[in-house]
Order: sequence, then structure tokens, then C-alpha cells
Amino acid sequence: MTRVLLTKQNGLSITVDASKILETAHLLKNLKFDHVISVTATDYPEENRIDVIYHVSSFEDLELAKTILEIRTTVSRQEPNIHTLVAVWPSIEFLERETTDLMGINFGGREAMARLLLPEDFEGEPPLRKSYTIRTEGIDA
Amino acid sequence: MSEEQTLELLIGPQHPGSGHMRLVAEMDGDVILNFEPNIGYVHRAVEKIAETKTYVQIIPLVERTSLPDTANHNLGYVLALERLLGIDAPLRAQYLRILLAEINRIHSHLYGMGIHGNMIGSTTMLMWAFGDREPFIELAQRLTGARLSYSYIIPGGVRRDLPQDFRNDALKALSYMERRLKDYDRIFVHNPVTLARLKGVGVINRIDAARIGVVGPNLRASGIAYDVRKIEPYCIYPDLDFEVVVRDEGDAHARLLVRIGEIEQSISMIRQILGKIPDGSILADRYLDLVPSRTRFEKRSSVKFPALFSGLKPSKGEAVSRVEASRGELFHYLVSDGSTHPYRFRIVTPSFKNLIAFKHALLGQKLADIPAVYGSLDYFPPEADR
Repeated sequence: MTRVLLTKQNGLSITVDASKILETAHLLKNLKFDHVISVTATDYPEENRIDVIYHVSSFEDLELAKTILEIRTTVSRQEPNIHTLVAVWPSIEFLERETTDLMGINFGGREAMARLLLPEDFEGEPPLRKSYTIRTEGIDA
Repeated sequence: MSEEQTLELLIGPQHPGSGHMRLVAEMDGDVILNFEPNIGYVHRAVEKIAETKTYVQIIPLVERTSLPDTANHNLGYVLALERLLGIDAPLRAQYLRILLAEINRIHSHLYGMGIHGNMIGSTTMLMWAFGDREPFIELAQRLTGARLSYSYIIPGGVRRDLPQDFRNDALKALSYMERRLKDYDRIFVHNPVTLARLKGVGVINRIDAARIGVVGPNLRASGIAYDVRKIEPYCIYPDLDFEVVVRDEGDAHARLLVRIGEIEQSISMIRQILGKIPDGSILADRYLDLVPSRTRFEKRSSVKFPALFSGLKPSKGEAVSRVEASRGELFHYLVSDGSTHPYRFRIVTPSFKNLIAFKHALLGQKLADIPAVYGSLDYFPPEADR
């Protein structure tokens, strides 16, 4: 774990290396953080990185539920690989699949899944990356 | 099991009941062995579009994710935005926000119950629930000017003040709803057919519910008292007296009962709000001073957007918000780079979180149970796809 921060809204933010993500998740699961609220990937093309941000909380411990814990990690744009957390938190299933579809992050260590939101035959730049250009219709076309 | 013995059954994407999604069921006879939802048919790329819009333009955009529940989506987004801007709404505006949020919760739950009734063959429940949404949609229209897409909650406040004689009409609608809930109970909720279709069907136990991370009434029907309005109370929820409706059975019927219990709680909350709403301004002073004519504004009791809103530039940073929308916890995450558009905008809607329940609640159930379980989850495909 490289950095722990108290965020403005009394949340806690942890920054870890992408290779340590599975370990961190196990640790937090044992501290009763039992489900994932969100997985967000944010693209920074100039810095050649994509931040992957997990927001986790607890249903079992309602005191802990008052906190949203943020786990931040970074992958490169060319090799956006990170270990899946689906074995630790089954609730992450569709969040990871969405992030694969829209941001092109490869969650390794799980069986290959069909596309969730995009058409099955979709190819090309993942649409939520900054480098994906939206084709306009009408007078601009 | 070899392929000859099982059958892959494709349901949808054309309205398997309500909305557009495809369900892929692996069947052994009429028993479901595996169940995989396939979504995205109504994906409108709200997160991507948001990166090209100004902060105020995103208010109507987030409402489009869930038209039956716009007030809560509007509120969740504005709370995140206000955290970026470092601004709070005055107390009267906070009351008005929750007034609309709870009116919306009632008509959203009625929508879900009506569809659920229709899915298990009770056309009466569909017609009644949709008819009984009207008084509440009408109240929302009196307050906001729109039936469904309110865009009522803005940074620093709300757009309009409480209209005259709103209070009396609201109280009438609430007593009417209380009478109707008794009718529902007799005709639908404890009808022997409903009980036979829903009791013990589509069970999600407490441990599984936490593990797979379902939210909202679906979570509370599995015995977990998690409600953002209590866990991380926002606006005026700390000042309201209400209970978190919880049941232990975890089946389709328990989910129906939780929604009915929540309608009762919302009725009580609206009465409390109407009883103790304080006088005062509906927009934060910081913005009020920018409205062209302050006196005219106060007479009209409605806000014309200050020009500043079109160029709203929050400082660089990040903000999260969570609210208890009608279908469960709604999460917003905003990343600002200091410009007029968000750098990244993330929404995780309750329907998207509840999608996973299809995979678990239907295993081992009969084919004919699919509509009974689907309806009980109050799953709204456009809200899941975003």
C-alpha cells in the first residue's frame, strides 16, 4: 500500500500498485468491506495512464457502511491489465464487465466473458476513452 | 449435462415484460439451470455525453436514465456537483427537495407494483397502480411544472417555491393513497393467487444479498437494514421520523411488501415536511444575488437560471454522492479539471446493481416464475443501461 488519504467527505482513499490489487481486496474483505459500489476507469491520454478506482462499502457492518472506501490504482493505456476481484467481491461482476467494454481494461484471472453493453461484434477504440471520437451526423458529417 | 438434455431459451430483447433486455436461460425441462441477462439495448452513453455538456445541461441528462425516478437522480447528481462547488442549499430548498423525492418514490413504487401485477396476470393491479400514480404526478407537476422530467433541483437550491394551496391538495392525495393501499391489500397483495405465485419464489437470502450486492428494497427484503437515508443521511432526512422497512423472507412477496411499507413511510414523511417546512429562500444567496431582479424573483417564487450557471466552473477535484433512489442506492462520481465540462462522470444506478439478482434468484425456479421474479425486482432497463 503506497498511500492512505482522508478525503474531503470523511471517506478514505487508498492508493495501491496495480499488482497489489488482489491482496488489498482480500485485506479489506476481512475488514468487512463486503461489496463494491462502483468501478470507474478514467483515461488520461497525455500521461499515458488509466486510473482504475474502486468504491467499496459494507452491508454487514452498518457502522462501516457510513464510509465509502476508495481504492485507486493505475494501469498503462497500452497494457491495461489488472487482476479481477470477482472471486473476492462477486458484486463486482457487471461493473468489471462494463469497464472492459467501455474502457478496454482487461481483468485477468477470470473466464472470458461476452460483451455486456456493447454489441457482440464491436471492434475498435473503447468508447469511453478520450481518444474515441464521436462521429457526428447531419451538417458536420 | 450434455447438450441434448438441456435447452437454451432466448427471451427478448423485445419486452420480456417491461423494457428491453435479453434473457438467456439454460433449461432442463421447465427448471432453470443457468440464467444470464444480456443488456445494453437501451444504452445511451450518458457518461460519454456528459463529458461534452456543461454541468447544468447534465441535470436533464441524468434524469433520462430513469424516467420513473427523475427527482432522486436529479438530487444525487446535484449533491455531487454541490460538493465540487462547495455550496449548500438553504433549509427551505432542502425540504422542497425531499418533498419531491418522496412524492417521486411513491409514484415510482406504484409504477413497479403495477408492472409486477401485470406480469403475473393481475391487470387490475396494473390499472389501479397506474391510475393512482396520477395524483402524485399531478402534485409534482404543481410543484415543478413537469409531470416526470422535473429538473427541479439545481445547484444551491430548487427552481420554484411551494404553490399556494399545495398543502391541502397534497394531504388529500395522501389520505386517498392510504385508503387505496387497503384496497390493494384485499385485491392483490394478499390475494391467494398472488401468494401462490410469489411466496417462496425467487429467494435471495441475507448472506447472498450482501455478497452479490443488490440494493434498495430488494436488499431490505432480504433482511439487511441498509438505507442511505439512514446510513449517510442527506438534506433533511435526519429531521424526519421514519423507519427502514425490512423483511426477512427474501422472496418475491417480501420485495412487494417492502415497497408497500415504503409508500406508507413516504406518506408519513410528506406529512411531516408539509407540517414543518420553514420559511425562507429557495436559492443560496451566492446565486440569488446574481438573479437579474431580486424583487421580481421573490414575487414570482421561481428561478430563472442566473447566466452564471451556463458557465459554471467547479474547481479542480473530485466528488462522490450517494442517495437512496426508489430502486436503491444511486452513486455519482464527478471528476472536474476546472473547466465547464466534467472530465469524467460516473453513474452507478440501482437497476444496474440489481441486475446480478437475475443470475441468482432464478436458479432452480420454473420457467413460469420468470415474470414473477422479474417484476418483484422492479428492474428498469433504461436505468441499468444508462
